[in-house]
Amino acid sequence: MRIVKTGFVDYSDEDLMLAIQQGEKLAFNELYTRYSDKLYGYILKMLWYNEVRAQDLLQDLFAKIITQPGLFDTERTFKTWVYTIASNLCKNEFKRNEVRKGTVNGVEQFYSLSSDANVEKEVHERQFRDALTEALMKLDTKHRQVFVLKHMDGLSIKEIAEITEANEGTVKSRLFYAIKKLADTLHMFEYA
Amino acid sequence: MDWIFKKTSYSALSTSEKEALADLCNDEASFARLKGLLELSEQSLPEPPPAHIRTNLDALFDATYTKPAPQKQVKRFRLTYIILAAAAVIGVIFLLFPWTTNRGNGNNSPKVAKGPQTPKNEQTEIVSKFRGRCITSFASNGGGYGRFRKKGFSEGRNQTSSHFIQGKCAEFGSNICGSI
Repeated sequence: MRIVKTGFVDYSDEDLMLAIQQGEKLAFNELYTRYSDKLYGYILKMLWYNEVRAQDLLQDLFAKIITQPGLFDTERTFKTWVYTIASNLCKNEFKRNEVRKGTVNGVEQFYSLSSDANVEKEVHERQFRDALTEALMKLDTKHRQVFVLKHMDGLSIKEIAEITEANEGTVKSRLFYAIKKLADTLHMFEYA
Repeated sequence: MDWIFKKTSYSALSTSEKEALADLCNDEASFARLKGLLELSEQSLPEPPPAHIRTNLDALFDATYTKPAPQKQVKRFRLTYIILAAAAVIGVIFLLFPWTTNRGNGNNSPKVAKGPQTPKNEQTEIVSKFRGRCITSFASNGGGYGRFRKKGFSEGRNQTSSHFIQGKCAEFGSNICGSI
């Protein structure tokens, strides 16, 4: 009887990493599908929407997963491990000072208008999103990082603490400060 | 602060919750704004990376984990097997060849291969040198290989070979005597 491989959809992230170590390309494809969008979004926001550098970093990150899967710490979850690597890559990028602060490139292309009747609401939401993105870019790195990880990527306080190598109290404090800053910046918007 | 999502309005907050949010909102409008901010953030649109990244990574993966094709493996195995088998056959032939030749000469052909015939004049010279020694040594040894014979050794075979040698010696002796 011939066994047909149906893919790795049901595998956990950690099992996928083990399969990648054995050269399973389908496992890598599955992992890429699960995380590429989130990580790209995270890196983009951390690098002030510098798309070219964000793409480079994303490629470096997944290249590391391919060439050095043994670096994965099996005592940690893959999610926190991969976000830690992404954060470290961003930190290195900050050190190189190659990113021009304050430039919001390409934000427009992510939001496209539909032509249905609810245009007014969509315009309002789009304006709000643009304003939010701009306000987010004005936050300093630590506060932006915790906000993006918590409210955009859906990580828990504990996971963020592990990624940022800070204690949970510090993470909560940073998060509160970030929300306050954003709320102050966006006070002109009314959300219904 | 996840409980913000569960509350529909500022008035629905408990006193302790209002205190916790005092720095962020203090009325219905500011609460709605804060809630909207967090909700929209969580509904952030996916940002798919460009396709060329995937293509590059695919190439990198193939380069890193290239496995030899199974057909080639079978071919290599066959070639190794053939070489080993040929070597084994050649080895066996080399091992057996001298043994079979000796055995064949000893058992199957009772005739001793004759050396090149020497002319009679030369024979006379040789005989004159060893005259007397040869015959006496043959006699003392009981004929040829007698000194190596053991008791209980295959009687018929030894008899055959000893008779044969004795016959040959006798022939050789008569030749010598004749020539003398």
